[in-house]
Amino acid sequence: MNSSKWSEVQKVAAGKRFASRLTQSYQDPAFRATLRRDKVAVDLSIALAESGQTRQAVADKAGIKISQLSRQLAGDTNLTLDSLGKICEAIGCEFDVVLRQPHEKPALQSWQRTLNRITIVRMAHESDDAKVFQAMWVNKPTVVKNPKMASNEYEFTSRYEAA
Amino acid sequence: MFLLELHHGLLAESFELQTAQHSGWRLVTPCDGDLPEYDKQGGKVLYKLGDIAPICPILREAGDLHAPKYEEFIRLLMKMFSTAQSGQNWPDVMYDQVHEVGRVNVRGISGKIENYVIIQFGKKKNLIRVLAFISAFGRKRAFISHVFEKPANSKTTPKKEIVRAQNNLQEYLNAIEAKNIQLISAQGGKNEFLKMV
Repeated sequence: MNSSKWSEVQKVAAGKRFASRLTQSYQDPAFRATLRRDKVAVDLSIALAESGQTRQAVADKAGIKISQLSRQLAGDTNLTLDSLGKICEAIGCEFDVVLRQPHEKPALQSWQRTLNRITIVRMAHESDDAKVFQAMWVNKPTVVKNPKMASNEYEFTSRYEAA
Repeated sequence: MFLLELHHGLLAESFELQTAQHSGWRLVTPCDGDLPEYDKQGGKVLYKLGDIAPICPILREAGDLHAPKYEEFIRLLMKMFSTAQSGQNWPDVMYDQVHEVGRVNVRGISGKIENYVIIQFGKKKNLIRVLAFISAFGRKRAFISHVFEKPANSKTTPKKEIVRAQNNLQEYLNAIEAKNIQLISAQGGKNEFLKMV
């Protein structure tokens, strides 16, 4: 279906259908539950990728079959808290259940907190760093000295609040 | 050529259009036209779901999918958006839900030929697929071509979908070479797009 040749009327009608169906889906408790399951599954998959381990290694540590882990990380199964705990331990992380009002911002995962990471290489004088940094960032970001870098190299990280 | 940057914010009931607020993958898809940043009173436009879909093929075409497939498509989009935030490689996170479906050669206006891998999002057993081109060099950027339903009795990606993806990519690269490309105005227009290239 290539819609590029549709008339404007057809496009607007299709847009309305898309919107009304999405609104309808959001009102369905089963669909909302599926989206929550998917969100947890993707977060776990990202945490696993960030840990640098293979799926097989995590499955072995958690004492489950890799096929079962794959289904869990695809959002196809309803994870129990015990299963979630096993996988988190195998990955090397911990999880919290954070309750909030529907209109409040969700808690951020570690990979969602970093924005605009830049590295300034070879500043002439270390004392200049703070001046440059303040000029570049208005929102008082944290300054992290990266131990892997040379003494005159800094990594600056700005954290943000999700919109 | 106008592009829309895809992220979670676009699937809210109403929203101000912004670019993605994370440092991971930037997902762009072609649009038919621009959307204004400000209304007649000079205020930021508050968009609703139905405002974006008419100019965005990937959303409006999903409006005609059958109910189970429509929900599968929304789930797939949500997973893609969540994965994009991490900046991790797609196959490492989405695992068997991402696979390569072929390579295409694209000739630029300048005559330069580039080879691209077509990536398909969607489980092999499912019917909804999204075709994309990944660019991991420099800034992480993925060009999302279009969505399609795989015929139930077909094991491979239909040829016409590969051709459509190739044509979309060709148009996108030509527009970049001709400097005739931008994100829609409400997402920062040309300036915001320049940050991605």
